Amino acid sequence: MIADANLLFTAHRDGVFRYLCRIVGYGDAGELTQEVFLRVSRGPVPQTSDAGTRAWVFSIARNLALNHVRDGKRRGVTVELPDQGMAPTQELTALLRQALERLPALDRDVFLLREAGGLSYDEIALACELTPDAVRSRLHRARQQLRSTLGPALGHGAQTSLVRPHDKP
Amino acid sequence: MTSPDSLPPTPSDASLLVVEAFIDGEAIDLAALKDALAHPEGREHLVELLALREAVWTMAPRGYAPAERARRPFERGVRWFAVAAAVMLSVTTGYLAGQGAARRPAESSGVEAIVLDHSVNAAPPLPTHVIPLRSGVNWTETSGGR
Repeated sequence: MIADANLLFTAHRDGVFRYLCRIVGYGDAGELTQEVFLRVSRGPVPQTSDAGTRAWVFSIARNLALNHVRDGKRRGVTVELPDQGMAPTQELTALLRQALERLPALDRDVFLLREAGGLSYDEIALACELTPDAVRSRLHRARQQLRSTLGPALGHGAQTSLVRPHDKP
Repeated sequence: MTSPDSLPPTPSDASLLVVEAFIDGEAIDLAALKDALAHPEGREHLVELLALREAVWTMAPRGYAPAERARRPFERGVRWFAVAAAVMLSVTTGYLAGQGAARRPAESSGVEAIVLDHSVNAAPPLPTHVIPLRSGVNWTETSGGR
């Protein structure tokens, strides 16, 4: 079981960390990532496919993130406001952060599990207990809302690639 | 110039979903993708989604980096309290150890104790040799010495 936990940590730590960074922020994401894999090591790893295991790990991450955000709201969180003197990339990041906060929680989770965690539609469906069609629909809605919120700020002089590290075999 | 009639109909959400499935690496119908990308809105959707993805990626580090956790004010307070408690404990321990050593019997340090007991009225010891004083004897030393 410990070997399984180590393998899962190696395989999914980056995706989990990226996902958590975008929900709870960089400061807490490292600690929360460790907590995710602590829970993974304690519980029995479900005997399922790789996709099912990945969805299970991310569902733990999602639950911890939701608890963290809820506790943060109870304590009161510091919100970073965009500064007028920011570089364009930083400004876009701040705008995106705000736009993400305005999304419905489940839509935001679906979007970030896809974009930051690199999960497939089926994996997101398992992690969020939705159907793949519902995932497709929520993802589309989140993207449309983000597009309309960010508008012209998107893609100014940006360079990108279709393939991401988490997409590579 | 292309007449508006020659353009394919505005892509529906279903067409945009095909574009999204394409960039997400999901299985797609190539003909549906071709139709979606034939329209400017479909192409714009593709480009903006890629830009959005790039923006999400630049928000935070791309790999796991367990930074040293910043201590919370409460933890810093506990730390200072622990340091102060350790100092107090060592000072108190030293003081008590000193007090104990002062009270402890001297045999432990190897010095023989001389106890003067004034409570018993002990008589002086008896003489072992008595020299009687006789008159007419010259007690002045004349030989040796000065």
